[in-house]
Amino acid sequence: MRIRMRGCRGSTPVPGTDTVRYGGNTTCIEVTTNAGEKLLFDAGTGIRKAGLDLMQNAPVAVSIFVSHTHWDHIQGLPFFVPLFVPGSKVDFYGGTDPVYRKNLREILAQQMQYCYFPVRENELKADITYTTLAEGETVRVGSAEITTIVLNHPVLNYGYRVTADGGTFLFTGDYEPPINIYSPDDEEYEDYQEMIDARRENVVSFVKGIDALICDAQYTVEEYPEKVGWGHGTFDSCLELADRAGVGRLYLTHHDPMRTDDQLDAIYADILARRKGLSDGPEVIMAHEGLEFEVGAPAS
Amino acid sequence: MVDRMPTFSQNVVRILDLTSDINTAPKDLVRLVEHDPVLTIKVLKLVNSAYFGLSKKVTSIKQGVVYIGINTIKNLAVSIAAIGALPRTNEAGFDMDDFWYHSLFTATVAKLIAQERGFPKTEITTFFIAGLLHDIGQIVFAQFIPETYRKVLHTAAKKGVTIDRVERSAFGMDHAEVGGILAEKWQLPADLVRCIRYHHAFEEIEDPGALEMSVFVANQVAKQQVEEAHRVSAIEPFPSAVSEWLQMPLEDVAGSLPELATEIENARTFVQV
Repeated sequence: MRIRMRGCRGSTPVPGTDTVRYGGNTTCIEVTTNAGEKLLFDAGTGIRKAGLDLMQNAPVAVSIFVSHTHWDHIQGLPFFVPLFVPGSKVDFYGGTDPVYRKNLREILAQQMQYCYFPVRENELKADITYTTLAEGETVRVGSAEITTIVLNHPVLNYGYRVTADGGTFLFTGDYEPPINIYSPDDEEYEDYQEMIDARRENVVSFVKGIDALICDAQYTVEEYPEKVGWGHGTFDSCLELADRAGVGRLYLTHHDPMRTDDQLDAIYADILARRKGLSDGPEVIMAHEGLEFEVGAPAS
Repeated sequence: MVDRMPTFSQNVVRILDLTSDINTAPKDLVRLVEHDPVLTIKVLKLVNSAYFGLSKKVTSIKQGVVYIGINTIKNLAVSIAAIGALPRTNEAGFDMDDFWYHSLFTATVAKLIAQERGFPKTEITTFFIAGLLHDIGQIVFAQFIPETYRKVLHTAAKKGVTIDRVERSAFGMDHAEVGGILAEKWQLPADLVRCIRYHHAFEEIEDPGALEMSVFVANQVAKQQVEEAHRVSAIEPFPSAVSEWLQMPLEDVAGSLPELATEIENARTFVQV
């Protein structure tokens, strides 16, 4: 299957001269299986251009998996052209809001309410379905198999493991590995740490041995202490997961909106220098908008 | 039903306080949830719902936080605060402060008994939670049929009998059963469900374990602390299985737990505003 990064930016779109190489659009990943099925992961502003390109081969049939419903992962949807075109087929998959019990349709419809957008959800012309996924559930879309895992974020967030054409990748959505809320001198510290270690071990075994990991690397370790609990990983937390799980390639994404192209280049150079000479471990790639790569057998 | 279950007025204030400050330490929020029966059951219900499809049931709040994240727990707490509080003096004449104190007392004694018996830390949490939740069915009665429940409370106090008997003759089921049904529907762990369901029908438990024994004993110790005239429900004698297991009469239990006084003092500050 072929993967195309349509948006690699975290939090908010950042157009500008110093973000032009890694790109300013928020998260969207396009997957094309060898059989030609189209899957999109997240609907940040990167989905707008994906929609225009898909329309070149109308009628469009596409499955959109939403990791979570924070703005930067859904804000491109009202500008996803296939939704407005009769004959399009759009199947949404994702979790729900476990606190206020809103399903995916309600959440997405809300962003198209009268005060936010001129067209309402029930006026869309495409044939649309919504499927709520539970954790650990596997769904099949044509030749692709997709399984969910809850990954820690300030809202319910699913990582998606996708297998097709003999290859497997995982997209974390937004993921901050859980940290201990107690300090080492608190009585509860050790018990809590055990639970965290067990949970992290679950995640490692879910990711074990896959070909590619597309991982939230918004912060540097130096920045992280100021950002604890914001729901994002660091370059190093991604490397740690990839190393422990024996992943083939690691794609670092969800770049901080404050990060310039030059800064990303410097961070990338530093990572490569630090890992130079390591006999094993994943190939590390700093993801950028427009980046394309294969997972599993390429289309013949 | 749990979605409409209000919590304690003191905690509504605390929740609003803690959740309106972005710098609140997560452990303070966890402490609040751990001491509140309604918040506790709501978190356990969510984490154990089919929706998360966990292979192993989550039995503690901390485990829940690791699993679904502190912000979701925080927003659950806010959603409970938004329902409002069951008034401290409500139509049922049900004293929320007394109820909460009794729940915390039972939880604490059950926990300390487990501790004395050398249970591992991770299991001790379950004893605390079982004690905290054992009477949760009473809140359902007090909230949904307040006027009838007022009469039930009155009758039990006047006759000096256990409240479950009066409930059964009035409604055909008692608060233990109601709590058990809810706990089961909310997919809480089986031992917790059993402990809630049978805490007034001990002889119906097939093979009672330390959890059921401890909560039964703790419940009586908690009732014993209240003067007879103010007791909501009479003390029940130990069934033979409990006596055999415990090896001491009710009067000696509190004295056998050296940490009880300090722990109860902590619990008491929680119930007071």
